[in-house]
Amino acid sequence: MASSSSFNFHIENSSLAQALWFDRYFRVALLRRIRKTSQWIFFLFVVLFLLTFIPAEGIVSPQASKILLGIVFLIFSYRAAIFLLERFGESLKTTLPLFAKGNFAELLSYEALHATQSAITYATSKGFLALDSSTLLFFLLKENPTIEFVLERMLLDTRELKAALEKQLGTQVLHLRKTTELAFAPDFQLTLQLAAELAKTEGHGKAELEDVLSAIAQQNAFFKQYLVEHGFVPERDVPNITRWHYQSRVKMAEQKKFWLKKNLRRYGTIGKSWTSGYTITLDQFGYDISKEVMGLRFPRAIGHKREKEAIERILSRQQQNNVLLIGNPGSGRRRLIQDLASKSALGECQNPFLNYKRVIELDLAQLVAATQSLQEAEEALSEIFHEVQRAGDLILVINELHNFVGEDAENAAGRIDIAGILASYLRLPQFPFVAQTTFAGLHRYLEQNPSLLSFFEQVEVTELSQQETLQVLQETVPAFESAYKKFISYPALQAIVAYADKYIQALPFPKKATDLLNDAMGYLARTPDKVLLADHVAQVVSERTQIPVGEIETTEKEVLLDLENLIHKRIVNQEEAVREVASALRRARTEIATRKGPMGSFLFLGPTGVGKTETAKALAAIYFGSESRMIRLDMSEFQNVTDVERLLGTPNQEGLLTGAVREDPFSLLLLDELEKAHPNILNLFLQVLDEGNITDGLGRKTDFRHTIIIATSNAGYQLILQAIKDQTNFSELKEHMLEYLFQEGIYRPEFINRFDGVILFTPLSEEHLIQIAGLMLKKLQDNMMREKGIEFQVSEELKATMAKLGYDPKFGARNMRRVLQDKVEDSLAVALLSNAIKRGDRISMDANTFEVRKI
Amino acid sequence: MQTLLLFRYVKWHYLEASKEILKGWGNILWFGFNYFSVLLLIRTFFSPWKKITWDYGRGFDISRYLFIFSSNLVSRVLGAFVRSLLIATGVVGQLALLFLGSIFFLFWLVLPALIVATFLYGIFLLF
Repeated sequence: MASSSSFNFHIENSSLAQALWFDRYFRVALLRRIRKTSQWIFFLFVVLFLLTFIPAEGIVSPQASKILLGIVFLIFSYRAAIFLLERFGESLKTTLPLFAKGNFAELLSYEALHATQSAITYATSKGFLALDSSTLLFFLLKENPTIEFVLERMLLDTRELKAALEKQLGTQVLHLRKTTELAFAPDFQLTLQLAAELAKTEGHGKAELEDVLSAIAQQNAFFKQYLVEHGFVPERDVPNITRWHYQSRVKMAEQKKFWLKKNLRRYGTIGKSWTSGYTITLDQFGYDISKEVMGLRFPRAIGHKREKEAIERILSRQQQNNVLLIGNPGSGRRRLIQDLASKSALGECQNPFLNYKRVIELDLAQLVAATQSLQEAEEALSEIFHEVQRAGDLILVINELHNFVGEDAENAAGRIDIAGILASYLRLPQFPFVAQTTFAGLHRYLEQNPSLLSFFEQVEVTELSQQETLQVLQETVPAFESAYKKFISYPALQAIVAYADKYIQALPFPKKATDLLNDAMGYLARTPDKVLLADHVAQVVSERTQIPVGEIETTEKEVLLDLENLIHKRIVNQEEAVREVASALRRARTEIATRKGPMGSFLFLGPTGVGKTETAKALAAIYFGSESRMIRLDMSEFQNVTDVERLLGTPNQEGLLTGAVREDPFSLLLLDELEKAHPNILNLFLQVLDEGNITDGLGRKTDFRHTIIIATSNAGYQLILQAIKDQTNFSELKEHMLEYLFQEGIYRPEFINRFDGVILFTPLSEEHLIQIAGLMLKKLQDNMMREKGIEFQVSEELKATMAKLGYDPKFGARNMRRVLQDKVEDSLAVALLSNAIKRGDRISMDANTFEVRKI
Repeated sequence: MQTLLLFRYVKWHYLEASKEILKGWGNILWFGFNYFSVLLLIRTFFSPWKKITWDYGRGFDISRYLFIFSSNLVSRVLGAFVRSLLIATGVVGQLALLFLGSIFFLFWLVLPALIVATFLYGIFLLF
């Protein structure tokens, strides 16, 4: 067998050598197929033999009966022998490893070792100098349809890959003499070492096929390149998908073994309920979550480890065993309760006290609707709580508890205040209770009743990470695939998580991702396509958010590269400013530096009317597709420290800043006249600019990672005007300006430093103003042609007059729009109304009198 | 290798696989006990049926006391009667499982010999 001096790899000495030898002579997979086929022949002959017992003379002779019995015996012995060989062969594959020998072959599972042995045999027969990981990958693919399936899930063409690998094998270095022993190439050695490490991390006894594939994806240059070309990150995506695949494989194998305790537990018990009390009233108004989870085959919650432990710990207590589950709708609160119900039904809770309990959700709205009066409802409620306490095998759940606590609840239709009755039961040990609420509900209603709140221990449900959400989606894939008869690709799942993170913020993970998958499958069902792709997901997101998602993803690069020109189509002058914005945004988007903050953040300094806001609008239109994607906050409205509440929100009202960004995270946030805001409000933005998120008044995180923040300020504009007069260098002016801002205490250095760019906008010259007038008149010209069919010719004189009238040293070009309205648009309107001009006319305008003339 | 594998087979058939069968059988027996909750039912044999009891209330009234005592007694007797049915079913089920399991285990032990015997007998019947 092949070997390398420092790399100890000897298949013949491994504990699986016997299994390999056995498989060479008795192909286990083939044996299984033979056994399955022969079972029908066996049944056929058994039936034929039994027919001989039908009491009708002449059907089958006694001799024939004897022959049939003989055949039945022979087939039985044949099938039984094959069955034993098959089981024995399988048992040989799961032999415990002999770690003491330090043989690398011991670290591989049977399937991985089989592929390696085939690779060695092939390399030796072809006279390769060394065995590399490409040869191993080729045989891994060739021998294991399961690996092919993993790659197909990634939408990779396995035939193409195999052909490319085969071609590569043809270019292997051969040895000169046949007697030379096959060596192990460094990449092969590193692959096996990494596979062993991955197996250890994943808790596998030996490196499985999936571990070896993950290792090859990270070590083999060819495969790595192939994956990168197809849009994957080998180090991240291949372990992700192989982990998913391995878990499904193990789960399926386990489900087949009905005799495992894990599977037997699913049938529950009938005797336990015979020792508990009746819950007649509760059964009327309760929803049995335990029954629901049984129908769903006992689903488990992914992630939320801390929350799951806390729920069990609190419910296991003798006193105050009441949980208040706080989380936003969609954060997975219900899934945690389902998890508890599943574990309890399977008897898998840490504390045996919680096992085999019925988890019942009380539908208070139904109870109120079914009773005639408040008193009757309270009596029924009291009876229900009494039943829970007496039954002894229940965990009671109330959803959105805040709706049923406080004066508001008492006065609202379809609700009652249950705080009083509930409080008297919450102190009892036989009353394990889980209440769900939201952060808003907690702050607005429950915190108003501290005595009730003191009976609970609070468990905050955090949002799942993207990685965990991907696992949640992976878990739902089989159900979706079987319901829709469509295949879900891994890139589609990745797109769901990425787009949900980027474009949907009103809901937390995992809800926004599972909703998107649901919508995407609904969309796919309406198309003839058989596979869910990232493009389908982009379509669904576009429909839901009105953001041209796919387009943005593909055109973003082009936009970034040509950003200066695109902005200059709308903005005159300000070359320096536009260049700085464009380059800062390019740096931010290419993620050259590790950053957590927003997509880009800029402070525009300069006098009024020089194009600061217009640049922001242009950026919103170019980058986000529409000017309406700009959230504008006039910071002069936030001059008091109490205005923080208006920005971040309170339980009673949505924050102006956080609400808008949560609603539309993929947008441009314009903070106008920043210098007028209270210093404490500026401090809030320190975290936004640094971390890319802020916690709102309801305790929810608002994400700014997909937002461009532009703050405008005309503080210190006098310095710019003076500098223009003195013809000071632009870079010196910027330094001078910042010094001035710090000295005057307008902004603090740590605040300014958090912006990606501080950009100076210089006042406009006459030439620039004429250009701006030209741009405005061009818009009007286009509009006249499109709407009225009139060709409006704009003269240079008209532009110059507009520039002259529209310029104000204090307000820059701001007056220009008013001049356009008062002089130009007004004259055109009068001419149109008086029928002086009509469709098909060519007109011009006198630059002095603004009189409309036909040409 | 062949001799080694033959020894390995014997070890697997009569030790490893037999152990696995016994373990699976044990699981099924555990399941039977758990499903019918025989031990729990024995422990709570005389508990009131579905925990239905009546409160004696305040003050002492012999007739009311006797009535409630007899009612609670009925609840307990009823509980014991119903539980005894389930216990009996559970015990019978366990016995059936024990019997079937023994048969299967015995079949497993003699299977190699049975293969040879059925093969030879089949040949004998055919020729």
